[in-house]
Amino acid sequence: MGGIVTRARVRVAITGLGLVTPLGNDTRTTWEALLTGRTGIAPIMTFDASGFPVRIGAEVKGFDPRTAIEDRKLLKFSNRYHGFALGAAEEAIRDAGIRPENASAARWGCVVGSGMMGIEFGELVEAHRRFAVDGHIAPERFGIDGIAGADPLVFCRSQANNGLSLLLQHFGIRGYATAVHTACASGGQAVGTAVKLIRRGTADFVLTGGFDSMLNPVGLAAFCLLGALSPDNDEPERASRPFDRTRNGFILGEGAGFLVLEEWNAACRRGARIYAELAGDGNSLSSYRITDSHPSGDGPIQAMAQALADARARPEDVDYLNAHGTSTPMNDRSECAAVRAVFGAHADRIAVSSTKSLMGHLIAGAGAVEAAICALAIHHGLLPLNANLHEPDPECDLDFVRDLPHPRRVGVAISNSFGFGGSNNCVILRNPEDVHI
Amino acid sequence: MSKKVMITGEGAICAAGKDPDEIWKAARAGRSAIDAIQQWDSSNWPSRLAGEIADLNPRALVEDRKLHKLVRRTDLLGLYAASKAIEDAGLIPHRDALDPAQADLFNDRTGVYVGGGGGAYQDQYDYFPLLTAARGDLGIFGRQLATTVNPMWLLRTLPNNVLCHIGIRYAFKGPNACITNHTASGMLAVAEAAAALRAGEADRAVAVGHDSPIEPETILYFHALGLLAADTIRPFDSARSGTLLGEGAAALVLETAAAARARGAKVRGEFLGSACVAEGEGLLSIRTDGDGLVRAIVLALEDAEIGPADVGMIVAHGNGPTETAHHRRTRRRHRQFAISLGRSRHRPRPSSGPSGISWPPQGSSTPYWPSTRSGMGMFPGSQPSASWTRPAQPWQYLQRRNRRAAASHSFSAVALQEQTPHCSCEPRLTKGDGWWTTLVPGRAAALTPSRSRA
Repeated sequence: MGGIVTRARVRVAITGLGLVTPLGNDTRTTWEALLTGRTGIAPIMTFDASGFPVRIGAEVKGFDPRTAIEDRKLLKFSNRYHGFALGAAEEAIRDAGIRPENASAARWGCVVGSGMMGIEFGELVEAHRRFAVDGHIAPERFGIDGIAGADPLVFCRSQANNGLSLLLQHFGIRGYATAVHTACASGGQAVGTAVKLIRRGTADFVLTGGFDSMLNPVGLAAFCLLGALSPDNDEPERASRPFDRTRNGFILGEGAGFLVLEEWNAACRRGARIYAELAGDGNSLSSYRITDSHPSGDGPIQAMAQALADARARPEDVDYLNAHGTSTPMNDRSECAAVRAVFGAHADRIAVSSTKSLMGHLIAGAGAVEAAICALAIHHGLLPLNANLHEPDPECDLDFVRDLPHPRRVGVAISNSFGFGGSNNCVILRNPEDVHI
Repeated sequence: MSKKVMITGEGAICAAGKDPDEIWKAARAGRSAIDAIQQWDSSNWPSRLAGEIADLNPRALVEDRKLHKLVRRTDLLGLYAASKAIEDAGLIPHRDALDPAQADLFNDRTGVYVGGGGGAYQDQYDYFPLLTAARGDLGIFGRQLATTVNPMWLLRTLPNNVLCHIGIRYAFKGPNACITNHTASGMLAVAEAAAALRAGEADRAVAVGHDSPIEPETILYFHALGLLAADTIRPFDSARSGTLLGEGAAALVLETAAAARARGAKVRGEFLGSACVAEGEGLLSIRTDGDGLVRAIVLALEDAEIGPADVGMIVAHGNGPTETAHHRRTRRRHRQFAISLGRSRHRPRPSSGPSGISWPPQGSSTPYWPSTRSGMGMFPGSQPSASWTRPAQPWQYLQRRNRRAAASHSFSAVALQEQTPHCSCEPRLTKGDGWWTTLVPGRAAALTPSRSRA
């Protein structure tokens, strides 16, 4: 690492938050669950997972996007996680108390971390029934018979940037718009990109977030095949235990998190409530293996160091780390090594928790949701729990949040997100009381 | 003042050729790259044409045979283009001559930005044998999973595979992104890479766009939506009837002027500016007033600190009324204006940005002026795969289905200068008054309902 360049100071304020998670269908319910230690992990109910090696997950429960989005036609073009995104984004916009209008729409940007191409399982089954009943696709038949049944709604819902398009349309955003996918780092990377848009003057406001749901037969199957999930079907509430010596995989979750970002001075002028300054972003590649970071923490080290430099923060300024903390053996060890490398002795004084212990891993949504949780921790002066940590791993020797509630003023909080493919993202948030213009 | 960003390496592959020179020569010669689809028997298909890379040999693109099991066709194209650009720029011999600490710093200060399609329908077909075995019973589906599906299935289908494997192969560890914003992806990869360099986040970056959308289900949807050309592709022609899909990849190595100068790099051109906007209107059709495109180009020119009169050439997205309307508006002020239709190259979707930038690869002593009215039938593969050449069609189709539709696009534009008068590095070509390209636009689209059209 090295060669870090600091930039001219343009401060970015977080003025709105919205969450749809396995812990609750809004920010307040999610936050209360994090403080009380109520888990969102349970047997999978949205489809029959009885034959799968893993039968538990962190599902969003009882969410109806129609409660947040009146436009029924828009929802026809949405699949499950698009609904999460629209719901969380609407909450964030309302929370911020400002939304794009004709005069401002071109100065609004939108950056999302989203999932892979989204083909709903029912649509895959239908394609199989029509064109591959013997198990193998017959393109010749596709060409002859497929035209009449081709549903443009299916085409649209499946596109990787459909969620972005729906958000742009729903909110009337006309500025910079992009979707990024770096697997589990997507949400964090989207938030980091959004910060840059405001800093470089491309946008005055950015709606940013992440959303995903791989809780369907194909998504669950994919992670089962990799052996990445905890098989503790009989104890779902205990299955996600980041940094515990007995950890054995992550829990697949779903949901969305959104933030409204604004240029600091503009937010102050309109009297906005500012949760936190989004002070820094770091972004690196591990360039090691597809699914792992180097045990030394190489890769995440650079991301955290860059984020500190970007935020003009010292390691000793950091009070709270919302860890990536997937509860997989390799990730947690590597992340702890990286934290040690960056923070040195101060690592013992940073409160650390992985909220995946309660809400599972939201994949492309995780980074944005966890950035929002950092903002809430700063705002409320309370730290969310790292649940299920009963047998500390000697190789994960950080100061984890193990008691509830855990009051602590947080000056600087950081959130890590690391993805399959080696992308690492770290965002840094600062208490607004500590921002002096 | 932000840092100057130079282009020091390029690589490309598409139906018209496997390197920028070959593609450029094919374009100048007017050789069509469009042909009947060969990947499956398309003889009974209503749309049979595409810009397919003929006789694609994966091992000729990427030597590592183990890697072939972990990536898709589109990833191979992206990795190939990236490797050629990195080789062209001479990055690796330079790094390997550094002492270990400097080499580590070089890697940490090298970014990777990739634009891709985000996935393919046929990736899911690996589950068809399992669905057959399960006979509609998810219990059986779950139990037979491990014996029926490749355990590496998820890793093979990751949208960020090109980003991942560039990193692993070359040990680059700098800032990065994988942009999945449909047709705008490749352009945004270039724009974000340049932004990172300007901001001092990296000294150099590889920007890649790649896609291989020629697969049965995508062709099916594009045809059903009325987006594919009935016979051939004729951008801007009054008889244009749609687009044709193509595949390929392109990559650029971007460096700060200081970094390029420090290692004595050959400079191909300079990145001047970019912009990205959305219309936020909804679906597949576009605003007839050219709102998004106008704003994208104007903002890109502002970012580049140039005026319309400085523009010598536009590599068009070639999407019909909106873009044409904007061209008319800007053309009044243009001293010289060329609309490049990329005659023999078919530009695939997310790779459109980098391939448009890297092509023509080394510039030309004169702007490229292909005919906009004649000869397009002979060179049908020239245009991007954008589906906007006949915007009324999807709308009419949806009306028949009692649905309403409007358009949603994000537009991006990049301004480039071929020669580099402010860089001490010797440009590959020089011209007296400079030569500018405003590259426009990529776009993202998806069907959503709206009241904006009835």
